[in-house]
Amino acid sequence: MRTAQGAAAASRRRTLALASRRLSRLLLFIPLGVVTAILLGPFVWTLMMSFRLTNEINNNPYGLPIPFHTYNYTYALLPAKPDLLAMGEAVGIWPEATAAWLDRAGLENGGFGFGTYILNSILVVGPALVIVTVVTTMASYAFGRPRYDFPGRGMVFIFVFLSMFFPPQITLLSLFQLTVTYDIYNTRWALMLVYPATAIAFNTYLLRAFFAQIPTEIEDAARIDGCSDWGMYWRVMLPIARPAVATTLVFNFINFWNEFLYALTLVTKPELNTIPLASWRWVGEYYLDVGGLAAGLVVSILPIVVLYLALSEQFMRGMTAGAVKG
Amino acid sequence: MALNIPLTRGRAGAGREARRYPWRSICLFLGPALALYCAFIIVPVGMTFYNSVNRLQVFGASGIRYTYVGAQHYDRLIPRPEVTTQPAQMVAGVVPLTLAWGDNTFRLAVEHSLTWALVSPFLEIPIALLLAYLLYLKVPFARFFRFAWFTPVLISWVVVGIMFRWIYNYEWGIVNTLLRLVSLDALAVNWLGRLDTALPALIAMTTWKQVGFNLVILLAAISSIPAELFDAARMDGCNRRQILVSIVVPLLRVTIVNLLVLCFMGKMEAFAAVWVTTQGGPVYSTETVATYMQKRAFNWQTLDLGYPSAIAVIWFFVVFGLAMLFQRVLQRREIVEF
Repeated sequence: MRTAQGAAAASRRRTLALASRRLSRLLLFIPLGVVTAILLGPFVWTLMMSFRLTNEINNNPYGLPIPFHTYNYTYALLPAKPDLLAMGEAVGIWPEATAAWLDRAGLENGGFGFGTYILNSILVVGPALVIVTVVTTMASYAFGRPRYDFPGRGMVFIFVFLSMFFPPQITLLSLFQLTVTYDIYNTRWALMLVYPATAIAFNTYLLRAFFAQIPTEIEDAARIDGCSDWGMYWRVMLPIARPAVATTLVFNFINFWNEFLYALTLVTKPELNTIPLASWRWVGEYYLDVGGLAAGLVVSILPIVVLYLALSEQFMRGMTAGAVKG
Repeated sequence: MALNIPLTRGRAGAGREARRYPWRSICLFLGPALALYCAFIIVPVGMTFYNSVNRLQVFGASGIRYTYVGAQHYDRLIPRPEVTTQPAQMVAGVVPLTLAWGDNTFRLAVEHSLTWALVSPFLEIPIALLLAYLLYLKVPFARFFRFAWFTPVLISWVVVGIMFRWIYNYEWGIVNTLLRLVSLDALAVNWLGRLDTALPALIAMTTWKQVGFNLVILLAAISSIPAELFDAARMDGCNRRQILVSIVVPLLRVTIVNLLVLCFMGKMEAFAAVWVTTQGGPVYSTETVATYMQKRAFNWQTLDLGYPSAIAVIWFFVVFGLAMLFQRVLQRREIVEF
């Protein structure tokens, strides 16, 4: 009797404990949900506004995108009118026809032409990534392997590594002057060369540690097989270092893609603007066109968001590499 | 084994043979990186130092006239301590000195940059640590939260800045809309347009963007602590809060100091975050050293690259010096290895 009662009480207690644990679990979701709402809310809001017309937004900034408009995206991506007329003519469409079509679409002056800036970003960031990867893997290989431990190598490495702690301002104004001297001011070359240079310190620091921990036996075996120094780097070490290179690639990609300060200072021609500069210029010109601007922002972050969705772990590893320990 | 001999370094050996180094390969491998590094980092740094003792006047696209001015720029920029008797002007209220600034805008910029760089780490890192610990305690969907909270880190300052101009908008920004919703209309102000709220609003914005970064690093660091340590602490009767304070924080010291220095340096160099939102305004209330330098170089039509170069040099020593100091002082105690 007593035992049965006890068992019942115990089971009731257990249910109660379970229920309270469930409740505390649920309560835990409140702060988690709030944090998520704060951190992702602005993106959701921007996305919603990008599918609404600016006068709808002015009436109620928080309404749902009903009815659904893609006008803002047409405006963001469509080239400006003169470019569009020229493009039309090139494929045999009369300028009048193009202009009439624009009028019908409510885009008398054409669009903002964001495609140009995406292309600019790709044309700057792509070569910069190639340059920095080739140059820093080579240097890190020589910094990391015992075979190349010439006297003073440590000093050279520290000399390169220290620039990680330099504020960019210390080089900025002189780079402006130097790019004028080198005759690459206001060209894509300026950014294509400056970006890799700013990334050398961190990349070398990360990759050197990786190359240093590859066992010497691999090197010995390859050398017996008659591998040259270059062959050792290109055919043996670089393939082994692929995961570390992927990490630095992600890190560099995000930094170059979002870079603002050098792009602002070294390239002033609007037609060479990278995405961050173009978005910034857009705010300056059409701050009140909230819907159009929202579409522009969505377009400008889309490449990164898509890549992040596909390679999220890689991205987190890449962005945070080197800070966990060390 | 014999193969290893020419490959290992022979510094320790007494009868060290003259080692032949593959100089050609060394040059081949290090050359490009060093060339790029020298051309775009070292030469510009040297030039900035040189420019800072000159007045540079730009004529057109290429012509630059140098006039040597010695330490004139530094004289104006570096504050001079002067003896004072008025308590209100004393440094920290007790030291009988006052700082005489030659350039008042620079003084404001330094104050804002320092405030930003000293406040931000104490917002970003504790919040991130709490959230990381929460996720570590096997919360359901922890992977999703980690993934979602990291997103702002990947977005450029331009996009973040524009979104926050909307968020802080006086009439229809989300902050004021929420405040009005709970009838706190008096608190609904023009966040980026007031002298007293503009800088805090920007600090909140940078915290929003960077929390995820600190969180992912701290979570990785917490996860690398052996589980036995947590089990032992739990058996000794530690609750979760005690575990966080007396186990997690001390063990993560290296990581936390690294994050602190990173955060500090990031805020000392803050430029884009300000440039796309307030451009230093209203009335210099969000001016940072970086934006002031940029303005003196390109926006003020003062036509002198020497003066902003001197700002850059001073700031270089301040940032570099303080970062090294923090590493030294905070990292000095012996590290618990696990």
